[in-house]
Amino acid sequence: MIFKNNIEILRQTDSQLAEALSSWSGPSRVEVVNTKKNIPSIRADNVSLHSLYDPEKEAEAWVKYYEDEINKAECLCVLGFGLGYHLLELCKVTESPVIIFEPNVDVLRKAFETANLTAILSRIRIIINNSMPVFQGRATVLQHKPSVALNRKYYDDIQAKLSVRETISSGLRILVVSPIYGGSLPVARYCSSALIKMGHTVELIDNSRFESALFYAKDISGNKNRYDSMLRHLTSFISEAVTARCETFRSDLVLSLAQAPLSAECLDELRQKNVTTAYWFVEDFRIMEYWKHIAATYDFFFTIQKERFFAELHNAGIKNYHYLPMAASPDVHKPLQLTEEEMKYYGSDLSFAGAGYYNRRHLMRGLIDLDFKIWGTDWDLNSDLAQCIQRGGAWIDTDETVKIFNASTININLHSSTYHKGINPFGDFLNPRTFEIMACGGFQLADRRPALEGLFETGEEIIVFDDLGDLRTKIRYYLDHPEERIRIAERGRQRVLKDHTYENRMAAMLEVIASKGLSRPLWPEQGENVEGLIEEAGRDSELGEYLSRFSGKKSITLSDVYEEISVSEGQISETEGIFMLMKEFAR
Amino acid sequence: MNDLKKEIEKPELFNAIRNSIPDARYSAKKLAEVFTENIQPLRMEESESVFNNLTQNIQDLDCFLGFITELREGMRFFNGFGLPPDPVSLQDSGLNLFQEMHSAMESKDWIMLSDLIEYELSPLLLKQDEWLGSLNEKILEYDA
Repeated sequence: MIFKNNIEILRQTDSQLAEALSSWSGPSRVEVVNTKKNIPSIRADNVSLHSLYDPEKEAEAWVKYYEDEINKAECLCVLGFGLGYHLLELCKVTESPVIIFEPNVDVLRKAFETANLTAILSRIRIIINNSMPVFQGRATVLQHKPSVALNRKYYDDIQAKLSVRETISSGLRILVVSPIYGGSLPVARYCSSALIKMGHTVELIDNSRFESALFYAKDISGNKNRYDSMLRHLTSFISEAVTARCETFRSDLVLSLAQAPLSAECLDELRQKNVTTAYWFVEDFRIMEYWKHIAATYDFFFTIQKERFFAELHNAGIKNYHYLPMAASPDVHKPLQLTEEEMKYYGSDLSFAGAGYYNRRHLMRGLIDLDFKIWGTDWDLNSDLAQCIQRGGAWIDTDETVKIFNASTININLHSSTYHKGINPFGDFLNPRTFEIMACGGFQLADRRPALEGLFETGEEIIVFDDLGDLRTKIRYYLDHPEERIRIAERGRQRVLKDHTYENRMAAMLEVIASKGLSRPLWPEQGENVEGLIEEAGRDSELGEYLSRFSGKKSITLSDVYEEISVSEGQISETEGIFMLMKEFAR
Repeated sequence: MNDLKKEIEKPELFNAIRNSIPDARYSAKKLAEVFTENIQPLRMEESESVFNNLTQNIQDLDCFLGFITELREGMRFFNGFGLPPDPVSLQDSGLNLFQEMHSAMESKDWIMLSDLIEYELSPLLLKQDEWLGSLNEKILEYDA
C-alpha cells in the first residue's frame, strides 16, 4: 500500500522513474532492518545508511548540521536518498526546490516500499543517472554521507558537474558570433545582451561589417564558382579572426547564430584548444538544409524544432542537439508610449509585419476589406493587397516593427510557408514574432501550431485561428471586446517576461552545456600585476587612483580596462579617455 | 570484617583507590560527553578533524579502561567492597560492544559506529560513573 501510494504521486511528476521503480527486479544488495525505535532503517553492502537506533533523530541532526546552507539555498541538491528520513525532515524547513541524486534503484525501491514519502514526492525531483537536470538558481549541495560513501565515483561525477554549473553561474567568457546579415543577426545581439545581463563577459563578433563585402562578391561576378570561392575566402578570413579573438579574449564558449560563417577547420582548432562551441540554428530545417554540414562540427547544436528535426538529426548520426525555442528581448520588444502622430501612422485595426511569403499573400487577400496594414518586403504591389501594403513594401527595421506591434489593435501572425495556401499544418516551431508581439503588450492572432503547446496557454495568453473564416470571426470578436483583448495581451506579456526572454533561453542553453560537463580551456595567464602597476604609476597619481579600482584582481589586461570603461556610467574621465585612445591605436 | 582486615593490611592500596575515584568519575563523564559530541559530525562528514577527535577519544577511552582493569584488580583485595561488578566489566565479559565497534570501524560503517558510541558506549560510561559513585560511598563508609 505504501509503495502504491508513493508511486501514484511520483507518476504525476516523473512517470519514467515511476515505471522504472515499478518494474524493477533484480538482485538487491540492500536490506531493510528494524531499529530500536521500531521503525525501518536500511543497510547496503553491509553498511548502514541510517541510524539503527533512531533515524528520525539523526535526520533532524542532519538538517540542523546544514541549517545555514539550507536557509540560503536557491536550489538544494541532495546526494543520496536512503529511506528518505533526511528528505522528509529537509522539506519541513525549506520551500526551495529539492533535487536528489540516487543511482541505486534498489535503494529507491526499498524506500518507496518502506517509507511514506507522499508528503514530499510532488515537490522533489529524483535523478538516477548522471545527467544534470535543468534548474534555476545556484545549487547548494547537501551530502547524505553514507550514500555518498557507497557510490563515491558516481557522486564525484555529479559534484564535478555541479561545480561546472556553478562556474557557469559565476560567469563565463563568451564570444557570440553573428551572421553577416539576415534574421538571426538581431538574435545574436539579443543573445549577447542577455548573456551580459546574466553576468558573463561577452564579446559580440558582429559580422554585419562584412555585408558589403559579401554583396560585392555577389555582384562582381556572375560565375557561381567564383562567388563560392570568394565566399570561402571570406569565411576563412572571418574564422581566422574569430580564432584570433578567442585567444586574446580567452573564451570559454563560442556561440554562433544561424548562418554565422565559421569554417569546420576553425571549429576544429577551437575544439583542440578546449573551447566549447554551440550553435543556435534559428531556422526551419526543412527550408535551410545546411544544418547537415554544420551540426556535427559544434559541441552543442540548438534548434527551434523538435520531433521531426530530431529524427532527421538522429538519422544523420548527430547526437548533440537540444531544443531551444525563439524568444523576445524585453529591452527592445516593450510597450511604448507612442505619439498621436505615430499612432496614426503605425496604427490600424489589423496589421501584419513581415515578408510576403506565398501563404501570407494568399490568406491575407481575404482581409483587404478591413482596416489592414501590411508592413515589410516581398509583397506583390500589383495584387489586391497593394492597398494595404505600406511604404511600397519597404524593409521595416526593429524599432518600427515594435511601434507597429504597439500601435495595432490586432497583430496577425501567420508563420511563413512557400507552398501552403494558408496555415502550414506541419508548422512545428514558433517564429520570433510570436514572442515579440506579446513582449510589446500587443494583442496577437496567430495560426494554430502544435509548437505553442507547453510554451503558451492558448485561449488565455494567445488566441489562435485555424483558417481564414476563423480568423475573420475572431478579428470581429476581439475588435468588439477590447477589455478581453487587453487582458489576454497582458497575460501573454507576463508569460513572455517570465518564461520566454533571451535570458531564459541563454540560461537554458548554459544549463544544457553544464549538464554535459563544460571543460574550460587553459589559456595562458595574461595581464599585468595590478599592485605593481599602481606602484609604478604612483598610488596618489590620477592613473594610480584609477587602477586601484582593480585592486581585487591579481592581474589585468587592457581588455579588462576597456570592459570596465564600457560598463561604467557618467562622463569618461581623462584617464579613461587615454585608455580608449590606446584601444583605437591597438586596432 | 574480613574486608576491613584486608584494608588495614593494605592501606596504600585502599588510599590509592579512594584517591583515584574523583578523577575516574570525571574521566567517565567527560568521555561520555566528548564521545557524544564528537560522534555527531561523523554521521555527516569524513573530515580529518572528525577522525582526529575520534582517535583521541578512543586513546583516552583505552587509558580509562586500563584504569578500570587495575581498579578491578585492586578491589579484589577488598572483596569488591560488596558492590556488584561494574558496568564496563559486565560489558567486557561479553566483549559485544567493543567487538561491534571494532567491526564497524573495520567496515567503515560510520553510522553503526556512531550509533554504538552514542547509544551504547556513552550511556555505559555514565553508568560506570554512577557505579564509581557507589564505590565512593562504600569507601566513605569504611573511612567513617
